[in-house]
Amino acid sequence: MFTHVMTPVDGSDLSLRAARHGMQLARLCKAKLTSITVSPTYRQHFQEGFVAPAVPVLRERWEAQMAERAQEVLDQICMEAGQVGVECNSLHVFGDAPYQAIIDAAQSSNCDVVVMGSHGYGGAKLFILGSETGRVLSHSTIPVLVYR
Amino acid sequence: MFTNILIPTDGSELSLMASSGAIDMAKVFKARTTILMVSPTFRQVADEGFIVPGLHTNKREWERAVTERARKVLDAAAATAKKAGVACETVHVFRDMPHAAIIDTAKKNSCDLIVMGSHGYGGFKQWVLGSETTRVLSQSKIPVLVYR
Repeated sequence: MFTHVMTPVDGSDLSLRAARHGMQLARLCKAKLTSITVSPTYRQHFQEGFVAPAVPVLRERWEAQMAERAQEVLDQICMEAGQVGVECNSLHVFGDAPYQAIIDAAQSSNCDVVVMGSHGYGGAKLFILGSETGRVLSHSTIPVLVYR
Repeated sequence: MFTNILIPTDGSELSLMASSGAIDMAKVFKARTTILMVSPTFRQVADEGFIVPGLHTNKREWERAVTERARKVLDAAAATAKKAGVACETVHVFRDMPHAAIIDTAKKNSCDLIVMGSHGYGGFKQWVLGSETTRVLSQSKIPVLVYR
């Protein structure tokens, strides 16, 4: 049926729940799993009137923090996948358009289904579809399984 | 993982693709399928200023024709399911809001997954998600797999 399942996660509860469903789907289809986290690219920060200059050292520090946080979530998923016997890859990328990063990654790893939650962090929880999920649904050429 | 898959169809090409994908999934999960077609209720038809009266005979005639068309689509889908060795039930309902009929049928038949195309007949084919699919996605409590 499916040979390679893509599960985008942002660390929110729903994204982890969707990832676990994706894991089960991969197990039943004897498919591989790729989990991806997309972090926003570095921007100038300002806090209480102080603007932090976009110097490389701050950027590196920020990227390292993002990578660390993402890796925690991705490692957790890959560990759980390993426990149910599913081969799992993890990907962490920087991009300001998460949906595009997800679609690009799905294409370049030849995934044939994307499994994700209807919402990530933030946004109205009821009735409305999350913005990134909506964009992935509109732009993806492969099937998308949406969990609520 | 899934026990009863709801497959709403309108006979369009994409909905047929979604239904054959859903039947493959049902085979893997040893699930049943419920194939649903929703037709709009009878309305008076206005044609070049002439209003066809909403007579009982007209309504009966119209419903008969619509039911016949729905039967054809549903029977074809059921035949595909049967060939794949998947248990299948077909449902045809008249309702002006297809998404409501889809969600109600899912509840009534205790379906645990809805598989549908991103678009039915009509609408922009690219980028944008079809209106009924969007409504189902925002109101469904069970996962929705969207084919494109």
